[in-house]
Amino acid sequence: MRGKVLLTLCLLGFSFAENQDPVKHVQEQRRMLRETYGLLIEQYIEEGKELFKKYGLDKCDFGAGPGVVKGVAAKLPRYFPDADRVMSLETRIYYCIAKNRGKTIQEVASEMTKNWQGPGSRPPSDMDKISFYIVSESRGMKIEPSVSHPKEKEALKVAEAVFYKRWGTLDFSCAVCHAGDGKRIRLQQTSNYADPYPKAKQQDANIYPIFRAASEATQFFHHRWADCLWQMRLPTLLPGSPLSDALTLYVYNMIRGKPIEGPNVAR
Amino acid sequence: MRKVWFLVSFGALLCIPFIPEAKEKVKKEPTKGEDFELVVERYIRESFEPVPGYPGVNLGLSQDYSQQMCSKYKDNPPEKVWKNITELERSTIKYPSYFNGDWMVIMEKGDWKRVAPLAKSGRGFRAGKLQTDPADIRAFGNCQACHMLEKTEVVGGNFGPPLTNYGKQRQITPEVIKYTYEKIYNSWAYVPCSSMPRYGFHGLLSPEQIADFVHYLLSPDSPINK
Repeated sequence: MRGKVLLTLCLLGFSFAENQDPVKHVQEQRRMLRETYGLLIEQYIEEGKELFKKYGLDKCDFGAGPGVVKGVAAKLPRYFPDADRVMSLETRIYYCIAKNRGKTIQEVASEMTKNWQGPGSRPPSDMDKISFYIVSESRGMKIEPSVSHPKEKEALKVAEAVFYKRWGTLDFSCAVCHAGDGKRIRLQQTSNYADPYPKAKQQDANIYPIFRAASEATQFFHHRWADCLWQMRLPTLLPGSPLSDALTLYVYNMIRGKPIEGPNVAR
Repeated sequence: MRKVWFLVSFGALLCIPFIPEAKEKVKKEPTKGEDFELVVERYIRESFEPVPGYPGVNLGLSQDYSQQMCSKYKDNPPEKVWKNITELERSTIKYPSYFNGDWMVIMEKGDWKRVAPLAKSGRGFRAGKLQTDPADIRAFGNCQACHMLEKTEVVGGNFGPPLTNYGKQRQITPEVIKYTYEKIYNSWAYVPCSSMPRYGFHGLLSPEQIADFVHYLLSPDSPINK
């Protein structure tokens, strides 16, 4: 079976080489995109730094003590005893803002993701810029989320089950598109999260949060998961929800050891 | 270090009889078997927002037998389950209203022009906070996401085999028409847990539209074979 698949891929590769190699085309395009949008990303990071203070996040503990942001994104998601749950960076931001304002995580998350939408251009939200700033403080650091606490283990196991869950009117699971290297939807390469890094070659979760050039829109993990599940014709996966965080933990665990290259630009 | 852990855990064990309900909690540690499935259900229940007025989308959270089996065996079901799925899925296949038992009729009544745009569109049936598709889109194809289609186009996914020249590469026999029709209607009748959606089963395409797609793939006039 594997031989057959490899042969098909090989033949497919040859047929492309004759005309135009879409993978090479995409790589070249990405390089050019970085040149075009690099400055814009730096601007969002700067604005995020201001908003970070404005939202009172300089007192928030992201796992390394109140107000510390250096390197924290590389160690998340993890279990937080004060909230008694596993939290990704995104949920932790919602949690701290919610605490400042006497609201629930869900209320803050819903308010701060009002700009979520499917394809199409949209300006970045405060939340996007804040996450751009915090992740930028972990650039180059190796990804190593925590998976030792029972609740972290539980989240990881749940996410793995959901990763292989076939559901919705398209019968898809995450694995249908995101298992194996060398796969493409149209011209878009899909990442492989069925295998851990470095066995899997095609993985780009380490470049998140991203500025997506095709739609001129920013996107972080929770939006990405909601986007996928929306395409799978499922109901809305809520930002700040336990499954959003579990999936984030699962994917970050699969790219354990890769350096953070976010925020970045993607096609 | 080990010693410390031992002491800590020993201490914790000693405390258990004095903490009300602690025994209960230890017993219910959700890790294996059915209990674990309930944990997954809880995560899902707490994480999704249903979309009012879109039962198709909301029902997607529950699974039918075949979906359950494919999830359980990570798309690699054992022989017995494989057989169960193919038989079950085969029984769901319905045929166009004009179908008279002669498969060649699809080459007469089918028309690729009616579905060619559907082969390339990914819109339809999506709903929720991100965006809701117009309600008048009642069909979904999106073949191009996974298959190479027309020779002149570079765009095309590689999850499925290339369909360029599908009709040129084979003789148009009743067997070929039947296989092509049934494969699109319910791919799991042939290969359980295939990545390809069960288009007819889920009502993404009507039997007549599926017949049009067969014409799209096989007709010498179709852009697929040009």
